[in-house]
Order: sequence, then C-alpha cells, then structure tokens
Amino acid sequence: MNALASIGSWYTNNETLIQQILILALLAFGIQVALRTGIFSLASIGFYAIGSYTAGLLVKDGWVTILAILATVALTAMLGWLLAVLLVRLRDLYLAMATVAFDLMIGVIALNWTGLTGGPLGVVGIPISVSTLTIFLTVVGAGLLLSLLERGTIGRTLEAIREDEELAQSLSVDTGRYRRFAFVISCVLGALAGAYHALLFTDIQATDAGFDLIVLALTMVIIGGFGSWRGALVGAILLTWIPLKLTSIGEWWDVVYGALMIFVATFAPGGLFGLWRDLTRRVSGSKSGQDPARLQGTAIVTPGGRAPPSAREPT
Amino acid sequence: MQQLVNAIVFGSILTLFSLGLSLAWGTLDVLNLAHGAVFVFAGFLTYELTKDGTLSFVPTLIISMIGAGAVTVALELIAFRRIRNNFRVKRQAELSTLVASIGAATIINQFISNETDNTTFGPSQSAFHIHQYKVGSVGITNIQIIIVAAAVVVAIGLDQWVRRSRHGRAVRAVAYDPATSGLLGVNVNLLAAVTMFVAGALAGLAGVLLAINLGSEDVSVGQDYLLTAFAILIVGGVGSVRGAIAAAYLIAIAETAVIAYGPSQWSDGVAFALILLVLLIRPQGLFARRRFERV
Repeated sequence: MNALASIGSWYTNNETLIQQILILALLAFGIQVALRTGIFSLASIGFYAIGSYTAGLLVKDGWVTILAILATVALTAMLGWLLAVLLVRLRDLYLAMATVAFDLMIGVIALNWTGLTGGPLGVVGIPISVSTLTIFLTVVGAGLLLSLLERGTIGRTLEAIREDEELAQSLSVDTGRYRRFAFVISCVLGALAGAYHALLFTDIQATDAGFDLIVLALTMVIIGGFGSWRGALVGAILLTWIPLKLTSIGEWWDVVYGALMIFVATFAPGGLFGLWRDLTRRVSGSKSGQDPARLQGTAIVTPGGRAPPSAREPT
Repeated sequence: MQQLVNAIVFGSILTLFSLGLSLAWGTLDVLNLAHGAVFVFAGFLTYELTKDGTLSFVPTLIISMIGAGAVTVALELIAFRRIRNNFRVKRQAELSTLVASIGAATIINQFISNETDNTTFGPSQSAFHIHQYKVGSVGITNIQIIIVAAAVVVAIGLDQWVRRSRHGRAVRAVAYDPATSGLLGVNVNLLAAVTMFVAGALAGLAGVLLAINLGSEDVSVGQDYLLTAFAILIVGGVGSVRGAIAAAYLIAIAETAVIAYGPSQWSDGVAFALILLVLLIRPQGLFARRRFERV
C-alpha cells in the first residue's frame, strides 16, 4: 500500500521527465534504425518537425487524435520514401550533410510559412490529446519492431548491408529496397516523436527541431550504442535524466557531457550498450566473440587494429 | 556597390573559416564540428588579451591563432589520432570523429559561456582602432581591408602549399592512401598534427578578424558559420582548396543578395538549399573534377 503510494507520488513528480524520455526515445530509435543499417541519416529531426505540425494542426482542426496520428504516419512515410529515392546516391558523411541540410531547411520553411505554421509565434493551444500510456505503448511497440529487425534473416540482411553493401548485393540482396525501408521507418519514428510532443505539450515552436536537437539525438544514440535499440533507449534515458540530477555542478555539466562524448567516441565505439555486451560476452566465456546476428562471409578484416564489436572477425 | 563590398568581406571570412575545415576533411577525413567553437575561442582569446589594453593587434592575433591551433592539435592528439589508428573501418572512424568533435565543441562553448557569464563579448577598442574609408558612397573599414587581404594571401598560400611543397604533396598522398604513404616514409601522425594545427590557426585567424569586425559576439556565431561552411565544402567539393574559395564567395554573394534585395527572412535557407541541390545534382561539388566515389 505504502509502496504503491510512493510509486504513485514518484510518478507524479517525474511525469514530465518520463514523457520527455519516451518522446526522445522514439526519436533516438529513428536515428538508431538508420545507423544500424549503415545509413547515416539525420532526417528524423526534419520529420520530427513535419510530424509535430501535421498532427498538431490536424488535432487543432478538430480531427480525432488517432486519425490525425495515422494521417501523420501515412504522410511522413510517403515523404520519407520520396526523400530516400532522392538521396539514393549519397553515403556516409555526404548523406549526413544532406539530411542535416534537409532538417534545417524544414526549420527555415516552418519559420517563414506563417500562414500554416504561425511562423516565429508557432502553434499554440493544441488540445492535450495523448496520454503518457499511449506514448509508452508506442515506444514498446517501436522497440518490439526494432528488435524484430535485429533478429533472424532480416536482422542479418540489414547488418550485411551496413558492413558491405556490394557483398550483400552479390548475395542477391536488393539493398536499395532494404535501405529505403529502413529510411522510411527512421522518418516515421521521428515524425511520431514530433507528433506526440505537439499533442502532449500543446505547442510547437519553429525552433524546436533545430541543430541542437540533431546533436542531442545523435549523441543519445552514439553514447547509448547504435548497435541495438536498447542502446538508443539507454542513451535517451541517460541524457535526459543526468543533466537534471547533476544540477549541483550546474554550469560545468556540459563540460562533463562533452568529455563523456569524446571518451565514448574514442574508446567505446559501440557505446554503453556495446561495452555491456562485450563485458557479458567475456564473462560468459564465449571466446569466439561471434555475433549471432551476422551473415556469414561479411567479416571485415581489420588488420592490426581494434574493430567495433559488431565488425569483429569471427574466429 | 556597398552590398558587393559587404559580400566580399563576408566571403573572405568564410574562405578563411572553411579552408581549415576543408583541409581537415579532405586530407584526414576529419569533419571537425568543433571548428566553429575554435573560431569563437580565438575571438574569446582576443577579448581576454585586449581587456587591459596593453597588447596591440599583431601579437594578439598571433597568440590567438596559436591558441586556436593548439586547441585543435590537442583534440587531434586526444581523440582523432586514436580513432584513426584504432578503427580501420572508415565509416566507423568518420562517425566517431564527428561525435568526438561535437563533444569538444560542447566543452569549448561551455567554457567560453562560463568565462563570459553568457553575455556577448568583444575585443577592446584600444587594440585596434576601426577607421572607415569612403570612396564615393561606398564605405569600407580598415579591418575589412585586412580581412580581404588575409583571405587572398591565405588562399594563394594554401593552394600553393598543397600543390607544390613537399609537405603539401605528402598531405595529398595521405588523403589518397594513408597506409601506403605511411609505408613510403611519410610520418602520418606528425603530418596530421601539422594539418590540424594549420586548420585550427586558420579558424583562429578568421575568429580574431571577425571578432574585431563585429565588435561583439557570442558562442552561437560559431554554429552559424559552421553550418554555412558545410554548404561551402559541399558546393566547392570536399578537399578542393580552389573549390572552397569559389564557393565561399558564391555563397556570400548569394546570401548578401537575398538579404539586401530578396526575401531576407529566407537568407538562412540559401546555404541549406544549396547543399541539397548540389548533393542531388552533382555530389562531387560544382568545382571538383574528381569522380564521386565513396563506396
């Protein structure tokens, strides 16, 4: 009874924090699913903006919430597919650059299309129309979907595309189709995050989805580990929660945060999730270090150097 | 006419800023997102050095450039070198480098914000007296003349250095194939450190000149310039010195024209639209001759 009550009051005290974590987890999932397939796309943030305006304006117009969300998903899936087709030639940093430009362009459009988006004033007074439970269930659903994509044939196929696209093609994998698929999932997850943010916090600012959000989302995925959706979830929780708890070091928090990023990038490319997986693997005595989710023959030979955990040669 | 002068001054600062970024990306595959923060850091150093009004312009400029270069070299030694040597998978190395540089940018920006109490800061007038010259109706200040001259000197110097000098040839060899150039006796680590120092010092030069020209700035300036520099690299072709110079002036003229004559609230969009357009139509950049091959 007492325990229940204390859980209840803890929840009430932290509800906003939990909501933020759930929304950012969806966004981080979007980045993670792309990165895991070897698509360095940050387009999710642009779709976060598109999703928040679409869902927010539709609900404000009197649409039923579920219909507005479905319409958002349908619209962004279509736009995401279009963008994937347009950007089909680009890889790696060039793709990252193009998607960042896309995100910021969406921001500029949002700021200037005053008739639709309210410009710098934004959209206010959207009725609160989703509950924390809905978002939680969506995050669970997205997590399930992503864990399915990490398993079995499709998981191995996506990983093969990341490790060596040409080799995957030579094994008659239609890499273009899988890449478009992952890209669209990535965009829709970003749009859902934006939609929930608008429907929960009742207002949208044109500056919500800017360069800072791009950096935050990418950081979450990298620090948590882009090898798995669990890494993205850990990243979303840590990077939303720690800054609030470390108010004692106040203005120097960002320095700790930056140092953590340099550390993870330099020493733990698999992120915290990768570290944990290496650790459990070592403890369980599995010496082969073979990742079960690997397609045979996609090993990348990494002479004389440490490879990221996922790219380690099976021995 | 006045707008053209503004565009050329703006383009000159962009040239100085983006040449360093282009050098690091083109030769070492380091997309250094801390470049903008280093740029502001140099402006901050100038502010600190000129506060008591004893130091004059030239020593301030040199110390700030060395400071900016040193910060970049520190980043190379702490993070970039380890990443380059440890992760042989190129994509992983690029991603890790990007993240490490975001971390570094966060640290530098927070340091500057804390030291300046989150207010704008600018170099003291005592170090450099801004004087305006009038030619007909067109005005240009002495610092603006220095900016344009510096850009011309640096652009020609860097172009010749990369093309002709022994060092420059080694830099291009490393860009082409680091492992083989290592075997052929190029000290890749040393060369990378020198390249990063030059890149940082160029950001420093641009940072000091901009700080004096603007009068006051804060850390957000670094991010604005970084985003515009992305467009310059993409339009000019990554690693191409001449492409970067041409693209810097092109974008400066386009943005100035939009601000002066067009829908000025869309000026931020010019750079992003150019990035998208060029990547869609001609991913190797408008001025690059090299075939686009990133598989």
